[in-house]
Amino acid sequence: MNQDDAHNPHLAHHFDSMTQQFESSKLGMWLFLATEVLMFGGLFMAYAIYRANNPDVYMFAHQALDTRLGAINTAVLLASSFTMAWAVRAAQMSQRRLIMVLLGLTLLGGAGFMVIKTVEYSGKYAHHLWIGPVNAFYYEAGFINKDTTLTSAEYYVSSHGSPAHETPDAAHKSTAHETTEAAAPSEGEVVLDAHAAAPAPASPVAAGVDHSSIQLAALGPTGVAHVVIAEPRQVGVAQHQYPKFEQMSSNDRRRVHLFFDIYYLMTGLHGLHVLVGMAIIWVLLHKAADSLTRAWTPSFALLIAGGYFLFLGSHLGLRWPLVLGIVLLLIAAVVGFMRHAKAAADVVRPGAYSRQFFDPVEIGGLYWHLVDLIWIFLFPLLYLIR
Amino acid sequence: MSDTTHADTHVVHAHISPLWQLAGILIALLLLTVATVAVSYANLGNLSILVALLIAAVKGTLVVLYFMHLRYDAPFNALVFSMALLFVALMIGFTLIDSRQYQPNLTPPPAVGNVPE
Amino acid sequence: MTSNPAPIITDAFGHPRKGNLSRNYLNESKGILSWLLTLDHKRIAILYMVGVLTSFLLGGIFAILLRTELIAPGTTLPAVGGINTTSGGADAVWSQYNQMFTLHGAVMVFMFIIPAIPAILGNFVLPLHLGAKDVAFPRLNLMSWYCYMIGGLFFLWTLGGGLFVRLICKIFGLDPESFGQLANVGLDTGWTFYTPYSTWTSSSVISATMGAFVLGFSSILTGLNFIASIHMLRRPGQGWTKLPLFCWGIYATSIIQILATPVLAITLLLLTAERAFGVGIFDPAKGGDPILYQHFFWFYSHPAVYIMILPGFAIVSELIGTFSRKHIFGYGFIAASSIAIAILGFLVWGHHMFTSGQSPMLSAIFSFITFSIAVPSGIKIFNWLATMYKGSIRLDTPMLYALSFIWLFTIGGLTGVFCATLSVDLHIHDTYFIVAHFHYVMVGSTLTAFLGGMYYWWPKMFGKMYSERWARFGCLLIFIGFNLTFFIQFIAGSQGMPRRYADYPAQFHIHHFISTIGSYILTVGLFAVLFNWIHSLRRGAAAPVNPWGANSMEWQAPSPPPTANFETDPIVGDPYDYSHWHWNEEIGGYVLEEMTNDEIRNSKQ
Ligand SMILES: [Cu+2]
Repeated sequence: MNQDDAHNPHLAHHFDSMTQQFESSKLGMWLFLATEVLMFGGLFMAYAIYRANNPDVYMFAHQALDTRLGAINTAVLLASSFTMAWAVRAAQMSQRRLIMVLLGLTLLGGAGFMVIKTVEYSGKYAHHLWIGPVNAFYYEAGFINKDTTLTSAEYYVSSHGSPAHETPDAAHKSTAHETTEAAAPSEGEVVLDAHAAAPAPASPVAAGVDHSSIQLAALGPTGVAHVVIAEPRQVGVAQHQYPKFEQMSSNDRRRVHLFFDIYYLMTGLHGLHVLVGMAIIWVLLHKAADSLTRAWTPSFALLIAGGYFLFLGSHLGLRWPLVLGIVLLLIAAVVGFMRHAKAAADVVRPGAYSRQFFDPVEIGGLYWHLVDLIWIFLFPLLYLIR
Repeated sequence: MSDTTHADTHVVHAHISPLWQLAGILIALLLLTVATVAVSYANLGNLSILVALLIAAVKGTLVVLYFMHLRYDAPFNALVFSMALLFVALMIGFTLIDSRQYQPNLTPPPAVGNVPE
Repeated sequence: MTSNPAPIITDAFGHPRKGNLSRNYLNESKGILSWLLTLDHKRIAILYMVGVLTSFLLGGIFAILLRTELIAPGTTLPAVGGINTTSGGADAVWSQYNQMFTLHGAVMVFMFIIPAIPAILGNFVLPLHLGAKDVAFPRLNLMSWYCYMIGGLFFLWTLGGGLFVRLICKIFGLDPESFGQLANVGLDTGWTFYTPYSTWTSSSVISATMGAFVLGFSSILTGLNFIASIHMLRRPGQGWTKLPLFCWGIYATSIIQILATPVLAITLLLLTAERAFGVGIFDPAKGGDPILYQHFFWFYSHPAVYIMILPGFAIVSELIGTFSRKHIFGYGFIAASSIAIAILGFLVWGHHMFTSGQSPMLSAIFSFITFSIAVPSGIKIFNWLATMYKGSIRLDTPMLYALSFIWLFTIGGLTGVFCATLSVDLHIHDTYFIVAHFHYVMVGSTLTAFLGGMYYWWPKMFGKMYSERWARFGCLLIFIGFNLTFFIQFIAGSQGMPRRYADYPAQFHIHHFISTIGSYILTVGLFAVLFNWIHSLRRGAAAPVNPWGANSMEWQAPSPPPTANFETDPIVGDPYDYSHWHWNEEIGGYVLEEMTNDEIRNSKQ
């Protein structure tokens, strides 16, 4: 046994040296990451099987996803991966203050990712493109969802300045030839919530939907196609020829909702991993902080949670998340000051990580990078289907 | 642990990445993200998924080698990780071959009522 | 049982031990909490032993019930409550039978066979084999036990949770329907959870899949711990070739646990999503692909067969060498064949899908690779036989189990080749031939090896010897009972008796009758083992340090070992070089000869 290591309080009794302990924990983490890769591998397999057998489904359905938000989220996650890697370096160099800043930034990066994900999810939920039966394309035993498609269409009408209660006749007047270039992208908006934030709302008339198509939607899939996807998307440089719903084979039509299932399962499981990663990073931050700063780390977590709920409330126009968010912020303040008073009365102790002991930062970082790694593959596979 | 210089000789010998390297990797990753989005608007047809996966693989390799320090790590850890990737590839590969052959024979159960055919 | 009035407690060299002799890992600290919060790998092994043996009892009860149902054509057992069927009578009995074989399979596979050897014997022995104080991650080790117990709770909920909900509803006058799937009872999907039936059935599928999911994590954490331990915690001087073959077997098992179990996890998550969120990936009624589920499932579950059998190989490799008093033959081949089986085992999953509509090309590939697995398996058998050849064989209880293993595994393995043959499989698929085949492998081989291993390490685990006569008697009963139960099933299956049927034509009466009687004998044999163990715990003579003369490091630690495992640093040597251990009549065990430092150094090389 190494004499000097024997003094290190971080050395567990069954290891002979700090290096042996460090290498063991790294090996353990890589083994765990291998299990994560295989677990996600299963989802990638489901993705691959359906994409290979029903390429049109993917071409058609992925238009519901917002490339811009997906790309921003990729950048956010990459940046947080960078701050994490930097935090490891800071720990290795005993830059104690810098570790805290970088871990805090990483945590904020994770929170930012979840916020953007929430925007995406809620947009699709509002357009009845949710998981399972809560999906406009849900197919079961010979039927494609009818009722939700109808409401989806109604939402579509109402969300573009054309009141939902407008008389059918008024909507009916908007004929196909009135629907000019400006309307073309907005026609796709039921699926493309990317454009929900886009400016230049078309005139109520132009944005209106042919009433007869709503009727059709109630009847069956032909109507769905008519309402949901009218024109190819008009974004970007090149025009892509995406299939239209009514032109797809019956086998493809049955499987459109499976794309959404796969999308939610993949991004949902990934999102869970982001949350777990955030929890791990918070623990690292807590341990890395000196005793004065550590007084504030629980408040920091509450601040992030509170901020998230405030955002959620304002985004969805709901009151309870606003209330919850404010409560969380208040608790954060109270807890922070109480802990601060307690810590200030005591001797200031430094944080746990330094060049003598930074294993947890490295190990936690590996997990966070894996989360990033999986997203690197999810982004082109889900958002950039051509 | 009273004497820093004394303890310094017994720290874990791990690779410390220079900051310029980490920053360079981040920039490369961001550029590749822009590239993959940009390329997706070019009409590449069936090639587009290959290109997208290739760019993703390059990005992933950068993350694994530099952010996760695998380049400087024990070779066995690299073996573990590549085994995982290999087995995912095997699983997907075999099943893909199979599904292409049996899926055309799948018949949906008899539909009730209005059939969207 | 010969009672030794004054056992001489010595160290490995036969010197009387100094210090507090009665102190060991079992009585190091007292109280239930000292066990529930323990980080000691030996205590965790004991915790696992309690859980796993309880599950074995539960799975065994189901087995006896379903064998009893099958003793004669028609209904035999009364239906209990008619839980899931509103119509009573025979339908209720058939429904009950479906539940019994499902729960028998699920409990035995996920809660008994998979954890049995790695989690009990692996946990206890592996760190000792490495001369280490513990596994690499003691906390994860404890966590894996908790995962196991939580998984068990989920399974218990599957068994009775729905009944509980219905009872509550009855008391408070609520409608059980409003509790949705919480009010579902039992499980009738078969342990394989095949879709689309598992999506549609009104039994308690989600709790079972979540249970298996959590149990999977327990298995993953155990495997992770063992790989890290073997890599990082070997004693200085213990190269990879000085590793006992038990470690090699466990290492190969752990590879599978790491690389296959996560796929089970995602499969079960997807199935849960099917039921909980209405996802349709595997459901043809929703445009999904039910064959895809089978690919998912067998990508884990075929390698899982090797999670079950490789530890059996691992134990038998130890037993054959030790009780033949001869260096194991073909050490490198046995070690390498374990790894080869682990890797090849990933490439054969499609042999479960020959009749599922799988493409002919893939069936041929899978059939061929399955044949090729017979090669490393055969290598093991031949090396064991070669080890015994001209050895001085001692027929102690562990060795009897090892011999029994070789016999039963040869039958189980060779019939596996029948099943892998495409045209033959079309005939015997889903018949009792398959049932007999996998019971020969899982019960005949793994259970036998497990019991052999338990008897082998029992003196080390508890510091007590057992009644050799009763132990041999139990082994004999198990061997007879097992063969009686399952050999006849090969015949029934090849004549066309399908599996999973509660009723059958009269022509199969004699097969089922013999099989059921055999299962009763098997049960008596297993209880003989249990009572033998309990008797040993209460009355057994103190065990010497090394009752068998084996040279792996655990036999240098006291019996039972102290919490830190070794009192002095163990000597690393070739684990199959028995020449330095000599029988000592006074101690009733083997004693290590004193070696000079030079000799120790030489033996290390
Ligand atoms: Cu198999």
